[in-house]
Amino acid sequence: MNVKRAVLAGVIVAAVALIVFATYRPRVSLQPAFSGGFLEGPRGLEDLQDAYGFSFATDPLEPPPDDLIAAIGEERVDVADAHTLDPGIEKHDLIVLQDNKRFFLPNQAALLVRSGVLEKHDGLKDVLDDLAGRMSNELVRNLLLTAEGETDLQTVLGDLGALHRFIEERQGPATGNEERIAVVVPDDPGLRVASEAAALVIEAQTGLVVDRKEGGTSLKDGVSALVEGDADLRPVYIQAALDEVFNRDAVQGKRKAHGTAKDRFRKEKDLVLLDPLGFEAAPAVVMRRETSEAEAISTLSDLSNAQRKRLVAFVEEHGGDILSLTLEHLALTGIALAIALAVSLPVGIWLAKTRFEGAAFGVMSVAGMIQTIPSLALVALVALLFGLIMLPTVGKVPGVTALVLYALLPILRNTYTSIRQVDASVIEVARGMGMTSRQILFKVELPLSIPVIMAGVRIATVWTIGIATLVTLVGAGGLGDLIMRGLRSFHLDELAAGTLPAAVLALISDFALAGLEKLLTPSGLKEEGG
Amino acid sequence: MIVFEGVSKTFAGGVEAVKNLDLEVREGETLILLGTSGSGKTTSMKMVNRLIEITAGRILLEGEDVREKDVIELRRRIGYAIQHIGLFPHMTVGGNVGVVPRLLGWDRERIRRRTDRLLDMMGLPPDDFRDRYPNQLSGGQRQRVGVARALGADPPIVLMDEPFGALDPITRSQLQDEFLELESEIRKTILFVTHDVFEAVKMGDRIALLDEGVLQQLAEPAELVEHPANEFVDQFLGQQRFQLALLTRSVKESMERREAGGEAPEPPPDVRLRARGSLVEALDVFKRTGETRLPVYEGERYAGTLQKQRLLDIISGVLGETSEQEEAS
Repeated sequence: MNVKRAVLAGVIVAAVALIVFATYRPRVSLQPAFSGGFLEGPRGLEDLQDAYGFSFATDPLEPPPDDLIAAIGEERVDVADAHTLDPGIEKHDLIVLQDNKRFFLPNQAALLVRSGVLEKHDGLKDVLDDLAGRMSNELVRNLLLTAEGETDLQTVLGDLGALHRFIEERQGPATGNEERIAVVVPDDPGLRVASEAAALVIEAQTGLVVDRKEGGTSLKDGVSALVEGDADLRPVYIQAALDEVFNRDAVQGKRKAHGTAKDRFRKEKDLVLLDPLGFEAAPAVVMRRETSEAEAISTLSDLSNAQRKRLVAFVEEHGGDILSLTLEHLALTGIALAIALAVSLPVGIWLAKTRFEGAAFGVMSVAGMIQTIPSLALVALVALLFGLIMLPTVGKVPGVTALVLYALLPILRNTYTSIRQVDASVIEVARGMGMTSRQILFKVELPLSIPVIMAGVRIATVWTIGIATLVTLVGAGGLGDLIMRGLRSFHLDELAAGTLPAAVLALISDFALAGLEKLLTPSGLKEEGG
Repeated sequence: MIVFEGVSKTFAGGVEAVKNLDLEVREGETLILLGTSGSGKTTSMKMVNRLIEITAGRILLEGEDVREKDVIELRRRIGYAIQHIGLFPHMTVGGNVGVVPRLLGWDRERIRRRTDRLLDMMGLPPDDFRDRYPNQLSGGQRQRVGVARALGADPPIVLMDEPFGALDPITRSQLQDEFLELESEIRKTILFVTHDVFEAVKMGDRIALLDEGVLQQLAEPAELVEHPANEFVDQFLGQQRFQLALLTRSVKESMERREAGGEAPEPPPDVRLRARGSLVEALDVFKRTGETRLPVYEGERYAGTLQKQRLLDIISGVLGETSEQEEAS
């Protein structure tokens, strides 16, 4: 390998390395931070990353800020874990990433009622059932946010009109019927909201008078109170109930968890677990809404993809495209080269042999002139000329034509010069010994010209592969499609996915042709001296 | 064998290269076309295998006009060697020597036997050289391959255009000697072009001296040297005349023949005087050995003796001849 080629190869490798480096960074650069519990606990960060098959490109902030939610709001952090019901989520306009692979355990809230109470008060079950599914996480967070600073959640609920419909449809207490119902209001903020909502609805739609009882923190005690008749209704988190009341392992799947809990409450405690209210108390991963929308990350899978290397992510997603475009590119180049070869080889030979001296000069000048037209302009020019003579201006035909025009000169010139340069005495002897012109051409001139002609073919090939990235402009396809798309949208990954295969294609072809050249070159022309 | 009848060549630019040449190359002889550059010697030769076409007159080859023959067939029957050798660089030595046999469609085995024999004759051991490429050979080796190639298909006629021209004097002289040896065995009809009068005298059976396309003299070397036909020939020989005169006389014609049953005198072991050698060679051997009397050999056979005094007499005779001529002119 000579120095020039080594330098060229070096430059190409450096360029490729640069592009890879630029595109091998994560698609989105995010600063994560996680609470201590999430970093170390079971079903924590490590398991999450395993489940979604990624790892954060940037290490989580260490130590984590005290108030993660506030830190996101202040843009010190981009991703963090949070409680699904944290009102800070609404305060800082964050969004909870959808757990599309169900990594986090569902832990829905539902109302737990003594069956006796439901039997006793006709219509109570319908009223309570009506609440099911109506309280989303978002609603609860908003309620809690509004209640911050206010002491009375009941007032907030009423004022806010969050349960507007139920309260509006208030039928007023049934006169004379002073029956009472004891509703437990637990300490947990989410459950508190649920209790108040239930109380409000009961008050509004049945004649019952609600006694609110502070419920403390222990779920087990709370359930015992219901069983013993000390209270009639309390909200619970299903997963927590399974764990604390029945000592059961976590049950994956919302429906299944609810069904299991419902059965056991009915059979073992004679309590009725109503349908889930809609919100749940679980860990979640949150981001600023702004970031999420800008980077199109709405699920944890999106987050995982965003942390992939740009190019890798792109190739994963568009591998088929890249392959088919590369093949198309190869086909464009191959066809153009075949045509160029079929034209310039015989023409080059004819020019070298004709007595018509002007012909060679003329043809070479024209081919040389074509070469001086910038490749981009040539593509446009071909389309234009095709338009003038009523040929298709778009598609493979004008594209390949432009490529052929470009590939002509190197092959033509090298064929012409190499045949002209064959030692005159060799030709004279060949003639003198009785070879026909045909034999001289095929047995002497062409074999001796192969190295130079092949050099021309190699130049033409490398050029054509490069220029073939431009014929996308006339809709001829090829890797240029990706490059142009990348340029227009300013996506480096698309750009790289187009450029890298083209560069690799050029390199491989060059080396392959170099090998072919070596193979075709007659042995006597290889060794230097003897 | 080859007869030039009133042959003329006028090139496109109007240059008359050969004017009305009449010449016959006899079967088995080596005829030298001698002349300066531009004398028309190469043009004359190339008209035989029609690398250059005749303008007027005709050339007969074995009685047939060359222009009536198929040019390709004609050329394949004529061996051709040139100064620049023109070996095919992409073919092996064997491939080069076998070119014409292959064109003629000989079978593989016959070609191989032929090329091996030719390489052997040219002093290039076939096993060593057959598969080498021209760029692995020295200048002298290439020239030998060039000559072997000219003899490839055993043509009856060989055209040689200064075939030893590109060599250094020592290699050239060595190749000339070898070729003379070879020529005596194969007896080809050879048309040999050179500008070197010594080579002409050494190699030729007859010499045709050309100037400006006109034949000046056609004669055997000794005749040419001793009796120049005109002033041009005389001037062409110039100061070399004396040396040439000795060169054209062989040892054989000057020695005393061996008496029947005569034994060879004690020969100086390393230098032998060859019967075929010229008197210039004899002079050299006398100088090197310091003897006054030398045995002469024809091949391995003792053929006679040459006295130093006899040589000196001849030299003074030649001097006399040449000075007479100088006085006359």
